[in-house]
Amino acid sequence: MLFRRERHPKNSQLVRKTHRITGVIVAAMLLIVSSTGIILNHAEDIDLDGYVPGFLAGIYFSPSDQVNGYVANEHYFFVLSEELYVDSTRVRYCGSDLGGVARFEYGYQILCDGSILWLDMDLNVVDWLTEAAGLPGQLQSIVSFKDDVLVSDGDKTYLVDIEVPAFKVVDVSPPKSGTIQIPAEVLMEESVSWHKLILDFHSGRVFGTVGKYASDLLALAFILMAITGLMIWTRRI
Amino acid sequence: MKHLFFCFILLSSQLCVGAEYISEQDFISQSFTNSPTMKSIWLKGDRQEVAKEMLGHRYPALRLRYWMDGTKSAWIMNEIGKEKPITIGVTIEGDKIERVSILAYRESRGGEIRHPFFTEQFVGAGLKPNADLANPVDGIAGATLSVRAVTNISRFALYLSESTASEFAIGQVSH
Repeated sequence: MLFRRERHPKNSQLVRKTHRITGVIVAAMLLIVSSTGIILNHAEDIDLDGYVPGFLAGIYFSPSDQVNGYVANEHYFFVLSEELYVDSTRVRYCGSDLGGVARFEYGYQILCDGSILWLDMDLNVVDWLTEAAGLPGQLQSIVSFKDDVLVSDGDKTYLVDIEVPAFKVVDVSPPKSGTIQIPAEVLMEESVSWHKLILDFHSGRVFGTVGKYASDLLALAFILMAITGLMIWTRRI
Repeated sequence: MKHLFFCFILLSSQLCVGAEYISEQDFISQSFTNSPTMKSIWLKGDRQEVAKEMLGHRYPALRLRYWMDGTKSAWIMNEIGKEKPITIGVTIEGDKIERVSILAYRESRGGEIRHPFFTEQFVGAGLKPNADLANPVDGIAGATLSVRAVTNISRFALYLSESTASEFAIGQVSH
């Protein structure tokens, strides 16, 4: 009734045009929001805990994201959020201090949070040696040395016999094991769940700050469509 | 100023998380009068099945070190409470728990389990035939998962202690 009083052909045309153009603009976004909304509504029934492929996870990483770690036998060892990862698989808690990785006959010895973690060739955790098991304190580095493994506290160097275990002081200065930058594709694998991706598509946050404001614009467009649609409807009645 | 000081103390106490309360070496030396022998036990087959039942998952290692002197043994294991591992020490005399200590707690909440009012509940506990602890253990509000972790590790340590003792008895020690 409000709009009938001032019926004007030009205004009517403007309202219809605005409604039509806005509708076309928001249609694609509406499809995304609606479909992701339906999926999220049934998230408990659908398994969304799996991880998205690396190329999709890549949208969350910028070239400035950098994680350093070690490589041994073509496996990447690194720490993210205090957890030790081998390639893309989380192994166990490691604190923030990854001192190095040494390959030996029966797998890998990893200096992790001041302790030595022994992984077999299949990357299963065999053992975890701490100072209580005789491990020297304040260890800083671990390296493969010929067929042996050496650890160093910066002052002394020890030859490791992990089976006994025994740590014998040797007169060798171990070569430093340098870290490498973990390739982005390794970090990206198994880093973003489907649930997170769909939720971020739904909210627009997948596109960062731009997506956040685009969602605001979309919401405003819906409001505009509702108003113009109401205006058109009232004029027809 | 007094209020500011009070807030600072309160805030500090809230931020004191992820602490190591006692070193593993100290726990071992406090648990034994004499110097214990370090041994290891392989966690395969039946033992991992029992771990699944008691802990809800396989123990995340193939081998576990423990310390022994006579009929007393000490076990140090990590178990995740909510997100981070809790390092738990359990001393067993015969088939009963002598002491439970929280060596390191890394979660942001629930660190109350380190206090004696909680850990002393385990003293004297053995395993019932259904693999539950013989002693009732009162929970702590806000630390349910941590309480469960300590309880489960205590049960598993008792099982492993019995398991190694029976191996000794029949002369099939595998370490």
